[in-house]
Amino acid sequence: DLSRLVLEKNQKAAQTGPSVTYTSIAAAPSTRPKKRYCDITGLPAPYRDSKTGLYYHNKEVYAVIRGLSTAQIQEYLALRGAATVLK
Amino acid sequence: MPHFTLPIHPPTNTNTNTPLPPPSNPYLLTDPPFTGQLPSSRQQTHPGTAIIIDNGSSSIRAGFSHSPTPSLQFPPLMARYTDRKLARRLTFIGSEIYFDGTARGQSKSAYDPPTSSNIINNWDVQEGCLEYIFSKLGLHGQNVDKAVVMTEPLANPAYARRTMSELLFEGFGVPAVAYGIDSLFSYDYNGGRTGLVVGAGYTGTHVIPVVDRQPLLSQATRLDWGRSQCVEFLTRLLRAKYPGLLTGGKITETQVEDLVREHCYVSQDFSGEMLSMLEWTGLENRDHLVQLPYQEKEVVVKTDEELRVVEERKRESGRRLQEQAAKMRLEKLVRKEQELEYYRDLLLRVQNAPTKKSARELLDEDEFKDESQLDRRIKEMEKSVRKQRNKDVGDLEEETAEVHTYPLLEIPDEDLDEEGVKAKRGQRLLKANHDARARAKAEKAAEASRLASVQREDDAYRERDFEGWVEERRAARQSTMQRIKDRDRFKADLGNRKSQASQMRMKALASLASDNPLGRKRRRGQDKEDDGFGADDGDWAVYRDIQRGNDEDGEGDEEEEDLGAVLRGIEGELLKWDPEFTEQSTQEAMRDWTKSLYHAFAHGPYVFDSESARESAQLHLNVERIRVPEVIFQPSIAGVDQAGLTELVETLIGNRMAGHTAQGLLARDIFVTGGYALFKGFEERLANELRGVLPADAGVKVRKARDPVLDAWRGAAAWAGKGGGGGSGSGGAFVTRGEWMEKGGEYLKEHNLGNVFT
Repeated sequence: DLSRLVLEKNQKAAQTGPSVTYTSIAAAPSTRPKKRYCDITGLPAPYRDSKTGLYYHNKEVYAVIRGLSTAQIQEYLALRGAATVLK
Repeated sequence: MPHFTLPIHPPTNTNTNTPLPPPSNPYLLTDPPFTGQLPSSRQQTHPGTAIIIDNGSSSIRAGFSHSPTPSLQFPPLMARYTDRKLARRLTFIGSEIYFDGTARGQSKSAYDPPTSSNIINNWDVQEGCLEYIFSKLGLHGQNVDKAVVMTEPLANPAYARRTMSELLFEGFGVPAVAYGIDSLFSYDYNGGRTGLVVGAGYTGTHVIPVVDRQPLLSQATRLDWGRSQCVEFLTRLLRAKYPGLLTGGKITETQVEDLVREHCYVSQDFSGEMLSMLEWTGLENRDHLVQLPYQEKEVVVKTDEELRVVEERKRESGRRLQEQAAKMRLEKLVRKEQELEYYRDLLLRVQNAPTKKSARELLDEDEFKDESQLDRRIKEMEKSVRKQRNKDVGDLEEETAEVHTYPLLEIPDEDLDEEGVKAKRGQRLLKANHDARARAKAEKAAEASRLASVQREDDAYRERDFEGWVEERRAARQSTMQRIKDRDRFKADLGNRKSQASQMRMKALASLASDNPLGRKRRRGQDKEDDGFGADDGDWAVYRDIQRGNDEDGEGDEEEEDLGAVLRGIEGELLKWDPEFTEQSTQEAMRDWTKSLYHAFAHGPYVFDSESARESAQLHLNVERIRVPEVIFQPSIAGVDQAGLTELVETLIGNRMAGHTAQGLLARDIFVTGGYALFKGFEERLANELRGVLPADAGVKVRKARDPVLDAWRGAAAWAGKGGGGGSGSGGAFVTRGEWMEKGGEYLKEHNLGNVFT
């Protein structure tokens, strides 16, 4: 996100320490809008299920989503990093 | 006047998707990559030879600098344990761990976590690998006398380098060590001067701009996606797609890695290709069927002979049982008749008894109260004997229908004596019994006649007004389907705790259980105990509402009408009489699996039988083939919070190198190396995408290394052969042991193909 990039840049300009570290090399998050793909089938997903948060491709996949258990729903969400993690 | 008529062809039914037979040769899972022992070489070396070690996260490649290819290539794994049976300490390195199951279980990787880190963490494994290398190359473990060139990841932390140097200098007695970056070695080997190096490795992808042979490491970046993350992603995708198939270690990690290597490719137009991926036409080419090992269920097929023999035996035993039963019944009959004889005899004797007392005695012997009881007993026995006789032997005539008379019921109670009253009670009971049975029979007959009349009416209606009848049936069918859907939805709603239906149910339960069901204020003059529940029959319907209806063993279905059967009945009638209602429109046909997207996704264009063991152990890779490698261009697919490769290159050239003299030259030589470049279509995809986002005069040209996997080693070998970054005479970038001991563990000589000191 933008604020982090800005902070890093200022920090880099301010400090005189090592300019290349393992963590500073890591790529920044994307600034482009993300395309959505169906969580079940991988096809492009124009719709999102408000109850579970899964993206789906058509009404047939929606019927499949409705029949999933909570564990399976969390598994699909975890594939794209959107699962609820309770600590 | 001529007029032309064009023939009208009925539209060919393009809707039917024909299911295909299963493919003749499905793909199989690979064996573990045990390649046997690697050869050890005793080669002629001269003092200038160095040992080149390309320390990669997927595999370590090592050899002498004068060989054309590295003589050793193995993954950085080690298993060290004490074997109980041999009572020895065993060590397995690299692919040799796949030789033994115990070794496989005990194996550790030099990297931790093994799928996403390229910094060495487990130095025991690293030490073991180095020992292995030196011994296979024919050198003394403690006193290696050749210089070593090693590759390290970009921006290797200082402690990792320090520990590696310590290991080499102190552990193995190496005289001199130099470190470098593998993708830069490869670039140098392939004749690169100014350009952008994309090192697509196993655990990460590095993008390094190189200007005039000097890398600008401050502008370099690393995307955390490589083949190992692809493997993990594919495993999770398959686990979600086929629940239960990947459990229990049926598919190992190396097998999934081989699946990724064999079946995945980079698509040129991801969204477009995705949309058409699951279409029926041509699906058999895009869908790869991987057959897992399975166990065929035992179906014991008896031959005809055996079946006949079994049947014979069954019939025999049946016959024998019947004969036995008949014999027993006959015996019982005979015994009964004997008893009857005895009682008759007794009756005679009682009647002919001289005194009342002796008669009494005779009766008491057999526990009869008086004569009339004995009489009754005799009558009963006669009846039963006769019935049985009729059934078994059939030699007596038919029993005449007894006309039941109840004479005593007419006489009022006062006129009868005690006995008479009892007899009257008995007769009243009998009468009631008979009446009830007659009533039941009459009711059944009435019901049957009613149904018949309804059917006749229906037929008459149909004959009279066909259209109306058809309409009515169709409406009934629709309403039944709607009722089925509503019932299913209601059941699903009840299962969910937060739904409206559940909340209503809770309210009903709470109001039933509470003390003031009618409201907060108690109505004047009404007691707490009497709220009148249950008096009205409609009150009991509330129990149907609050029953949740999760049917165990389908009990719930028995109470409600079986709507499925009703639907089928209506559809049967429609099929018979309605000309427009065809097989296509029935509910069964509408659930056609060939039109189902999910079926194409999970089972391809082939029939799926969930009972068959073979088909249950199959994987279909269709969408995953392009979805898995696509993540490097769109990391959000797998939840990686980083920019994709195209965006990284674009921001690098556009923003970070802005103002640099070589900004316009970078795109002219985009060099791709590393194992990820082996995916089909990787360079074209990168080139097309970059051409779209970079300015028109950038002149985008993407090229792949001649050998993306081994060129890093060859580049390091060539570099070492040229003296290692310096002229002959000076040590180049090699750090000698003395220098290391004097200047500290983190001493590094920077060179144009290596890291900078941090």
